[in-house]
Amino acid sequence: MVDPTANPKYRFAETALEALAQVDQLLASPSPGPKKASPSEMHSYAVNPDHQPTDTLLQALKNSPQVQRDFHCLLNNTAQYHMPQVAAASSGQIEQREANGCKISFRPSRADAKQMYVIIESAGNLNFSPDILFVCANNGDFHRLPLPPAQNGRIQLLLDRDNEIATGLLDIKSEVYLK
Amino acid sequence: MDIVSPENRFLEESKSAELTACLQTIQETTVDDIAKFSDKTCRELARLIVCRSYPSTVLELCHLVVAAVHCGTPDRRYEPLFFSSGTARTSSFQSFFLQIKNPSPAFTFAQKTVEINYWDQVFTINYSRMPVLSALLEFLMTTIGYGQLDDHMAPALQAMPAHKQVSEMANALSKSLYGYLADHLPPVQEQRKSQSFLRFLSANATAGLSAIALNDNSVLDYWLAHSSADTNNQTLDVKTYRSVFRMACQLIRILQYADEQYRLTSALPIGTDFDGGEIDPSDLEQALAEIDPGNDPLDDLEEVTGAGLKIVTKREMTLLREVLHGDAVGRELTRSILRNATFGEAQAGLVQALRQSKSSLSAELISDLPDDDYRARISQYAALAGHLDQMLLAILYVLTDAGHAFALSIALALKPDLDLSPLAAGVDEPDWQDDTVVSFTAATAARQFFAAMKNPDGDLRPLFEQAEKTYKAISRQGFAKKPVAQRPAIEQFVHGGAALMALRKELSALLHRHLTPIDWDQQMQTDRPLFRAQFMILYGGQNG
Repeated sequence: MVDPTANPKYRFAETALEALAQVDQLLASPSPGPKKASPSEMHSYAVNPDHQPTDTLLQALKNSPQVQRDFHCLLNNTAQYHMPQVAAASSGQIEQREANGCKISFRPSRADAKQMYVIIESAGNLNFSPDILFVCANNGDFHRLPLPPAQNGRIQLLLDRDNEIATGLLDIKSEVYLK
Repeated sequence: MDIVSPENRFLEESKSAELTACLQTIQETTVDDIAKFSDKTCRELARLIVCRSYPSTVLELCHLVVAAVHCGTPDRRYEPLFFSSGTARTSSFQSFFLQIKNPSPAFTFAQKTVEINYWDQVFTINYSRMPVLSALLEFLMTTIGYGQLDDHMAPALQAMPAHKQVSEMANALSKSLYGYLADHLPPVQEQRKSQSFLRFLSANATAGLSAIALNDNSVLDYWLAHSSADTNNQTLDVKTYRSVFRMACQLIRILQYADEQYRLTSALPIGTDFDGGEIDPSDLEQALAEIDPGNDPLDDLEEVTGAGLKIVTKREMTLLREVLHGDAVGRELTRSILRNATFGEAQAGLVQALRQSKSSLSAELISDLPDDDYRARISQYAALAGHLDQMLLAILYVLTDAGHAFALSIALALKPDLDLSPLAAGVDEPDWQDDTVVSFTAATAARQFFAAMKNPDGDLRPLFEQAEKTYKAISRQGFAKKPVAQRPAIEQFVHGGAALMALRKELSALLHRHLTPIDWDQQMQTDRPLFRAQFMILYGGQNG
């Protein structure tokens, strides 16, 4: 009996059918493993203050070293201002951060010792109005704060001192981005 | 048959699951609640990956990144093009580039292409390629990661690179992707999932493997014989009738393509010596692009609907996908289409019920199936055909109102007996041998057609009034009270109309040619006990 698999048409059919089966398999839903963070969503989260992140993205930012590295890189490429780790501060806490004409200063609240003012301003740029503040903690965590509109190039926030954004801003090992 | 150990299969499945998750992320990405990438784009991407024919597409992507960075936008980054230009559709990318106020002289933005004039060479990218390039960029970001991708793109981010530099970038990027896929995607040649189906068909064919060997009986016989086999030792899910039917549809298209290629060139487009490395991945991908249903009018219609012109609802789209699988399938697997629609759906319901109950299903539940008989299904398809006619009439009204020549094609599709000969009156026939002649006659005829449609005393007036009345009775997204006049919106009606015409033709052939000779009541009487018995074996507790 003739072996059908020796027929070129049979072998072409087999290859094409296997390839289409693989295409179907790749596009089959849902995949049993953990979901991947969407690049589109990562970008939206980095640049759009109104974006409401999905749990998938938040989990990936918390648990996936690759997503953390990628998001860090994305912030480097999309943010207007980057304030790196502060090099020389013996106490481990700082009073202000500064980079490229942008300054973030911290003042204690007289009314409530548990609170502090965060003042974000630009030297001489009246159009200065960043939309989002990111704090990248030393442990890889990202904290995000959509900002109110600037008044005369100045944004003032009142934060609880134990708030993770506040502690991150005051930590010399954190990095800060403004978009 | 190859036997895969459970341990190895687990490892292979984990690797594939990682890749499936990447593709799934791309499929599920939305922009303002609309899928960012069409199904067509996702399938095109998946084919590139499976066939490993991505290098030329990666090269195009790198050139597109150069265009995004250096075309004249203020931020000189590529992210805004891919992430801030809306859904990944041809029109979105076209708008992005055509709206650039002061483009760099190195770029020429035409209606269909972006031309990049490197000092050492010119490279042209079609806007229609950009959706899949955008999907590839996201795929690279989920697989090798954004950081690595951005490192590869670094030479394009400073001064305008040379063409040669972009080629080097693309090669390095392809190499990274190759490395990732080597760990996550088994080569097609190593897969043997469809072998049992092909062997079954060959064993039952008298004249070798051809489209004739594949028919309604062989599909059903294969499913009956193999669906209850021990699935733990199988590499392919043939438990559901749907999966077998889908494989049969694909095989029909593959064999049809192979026959056409033989007729044209007396050879298949690819080498068949896998071990000798004869297969050219891009040839295989090109063949699959023609075979794969991702390039059909159903996808075009879905794309138009997704873009906001609601020609069909989700339910109507599901029904269209259920009944239309291409002319060859309609002709050769007519009974299988109806079996898939009724018993395939019933089986999907059983699987769902089984998942919820976690035990075998009752005989009563199975004996009540299916919910619809064949005749009821055919009635739904006939009603759907009527709906397509209505929507085509409505589109005829919009295009007539806009004076778009495609209205003529729609009018002829709706009324094939329409006598348009009076439109030729007064037109001097040009010398058709002269290459410089543009279809003056056609343009004049179109003008006369529109005049005749709107002339209260003209022969075409009843058709126009019918079209107008139909349009005004529709209250769906995209069908405003007064038809839109903007060109992009009109183009959507043209695309939607073209897809509808093709689908209507296929549905009409199925309804009036392929379905009519069959006694469906008799067919249901024959099929029902067969399917119920098999469902009992699969889900009634007789097969664990």
